[in-house]
Amino acid sequence: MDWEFVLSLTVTGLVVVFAVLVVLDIIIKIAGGALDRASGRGRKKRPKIGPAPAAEPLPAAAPVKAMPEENGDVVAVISAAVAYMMEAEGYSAGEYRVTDIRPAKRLRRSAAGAKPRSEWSAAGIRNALR
Amino acid sequence: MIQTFIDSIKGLLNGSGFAAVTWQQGVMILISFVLMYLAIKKQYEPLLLLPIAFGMLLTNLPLAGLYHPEIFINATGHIDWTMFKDGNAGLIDILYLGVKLGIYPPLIFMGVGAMTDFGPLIANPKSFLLGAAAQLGIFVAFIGAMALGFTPQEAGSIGIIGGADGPTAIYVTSILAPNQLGTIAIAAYSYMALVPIIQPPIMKALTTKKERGIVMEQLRPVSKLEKICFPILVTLLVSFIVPSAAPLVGMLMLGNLMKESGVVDRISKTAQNELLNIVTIFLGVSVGATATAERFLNVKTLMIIAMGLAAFAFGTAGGVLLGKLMCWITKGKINPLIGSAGVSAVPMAARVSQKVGQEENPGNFLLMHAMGPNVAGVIGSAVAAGILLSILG
Repeated sequence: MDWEFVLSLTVTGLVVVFAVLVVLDIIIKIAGGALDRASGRGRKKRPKIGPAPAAEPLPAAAPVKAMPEENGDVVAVISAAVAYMMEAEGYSAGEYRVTDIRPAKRLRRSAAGAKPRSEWSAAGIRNALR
Repeated sequence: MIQTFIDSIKGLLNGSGFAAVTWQQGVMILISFVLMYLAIKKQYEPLLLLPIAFGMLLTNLPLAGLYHPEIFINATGHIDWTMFKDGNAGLIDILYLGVKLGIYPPLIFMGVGAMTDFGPLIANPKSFLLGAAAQLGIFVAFIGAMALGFTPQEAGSIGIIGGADGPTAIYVTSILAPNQLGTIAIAAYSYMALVPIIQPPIMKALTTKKERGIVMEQLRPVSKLEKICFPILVTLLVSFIVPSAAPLVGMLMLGNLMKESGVVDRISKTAQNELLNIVTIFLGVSVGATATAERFLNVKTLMIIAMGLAAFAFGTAGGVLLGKLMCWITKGKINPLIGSAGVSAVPMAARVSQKVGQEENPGNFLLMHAMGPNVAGVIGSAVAAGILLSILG
């Protein structure tokens, strides 16, 4: 067996695979930046924040009422959405704190001018959502 | 009259498969049953393993004449068209032309591209490096196969099993070592199905508990424009550097462009569904049919299966080790487990990263991070295939 050929093919193969993918890495990074600039929405830079002021304690969290077990998933989804939005705004995990999750006030349809649902309609919706 | 009846029955029996079957064909038929069992009962890559197993059954039926290997593998090294002209070619001979002429694998790649979201890779282009490192298995298996006495072409085809990409393995093998196509395809798809069993012990052995628990930063959102430009850029760059990878990468990216552009929804859906399914049937049956008794029942098959496992193991190790290096360089921002997804096997390998990560930290979601190296691995294995074809072809 020609070991020189085997080793040269192995080294060539690995080097070329890495080279192609490294070049792709660089080009995708450059193209991503260029496309962002071209579309006029350059990537938001995270605000540089110095070391956190140690003396300034975070405001005490509002007492959180014990959540019923079935609300755990809802809270997890809301927390994930908040984290996503805050990261998009340039804040990292330690820079904000969710202290309370409250239900939004519902609009009263009848008060807003809409016709109240008939009993049949309300029953149909209840049946569909059950 | 009775004598005539007996002679007729004797003639029928002598002309039937029962009289002509060899023990080797019997064994191959039993192996096809085992593969069908694995596909149906265990659901190991059933979409391809089932047609491959049935193709294996069909080709080993005595006297059926569905597949004639001598048409494709002969002294001239070219397809013997006279059998087609004379009307003596079987059904699978005709279907196999799509493999031999390199048509089916790129079409499958087009469907895969139409189903793939490269967003995680665009959002974190460093994933390309992990996709490259996981190709280590290809070249380690190449060395191993050479040491076992395979020809360079056969060794290259065995190595490509480590790319964990069925169409790529079939494409390379159909060109470099068509006599081993059935065995290599079966090994490749079997190991892809066994990724959840093969990878976790290697991943755990090469990482610490702390590394496996690393939570990665959320990926940035990727614009539609970036997703549209990506397939065009990749096609241009890869095809210019490794032209022999152009059929695979080009079709992969065409499928992706159709998906991301959003203007050819009908074609994109066809590529993802009907076309992909039809080609999968043709590819599976015709590749399975190459596993004839005389080619499959020998020591080389066992060696190929062993080398395939080594290819997968080293590919996984290569990805994880580079992941560890990147973890160290970035001071713990990258979880090394996502490196193992660089072996392709989309999306199974990414799911394995997610599962192993969650075993350490149930709140850790690595799936999207692992999808980056996972799809980078598809590009990486196509590039590696192109290199093998250009040097050994």
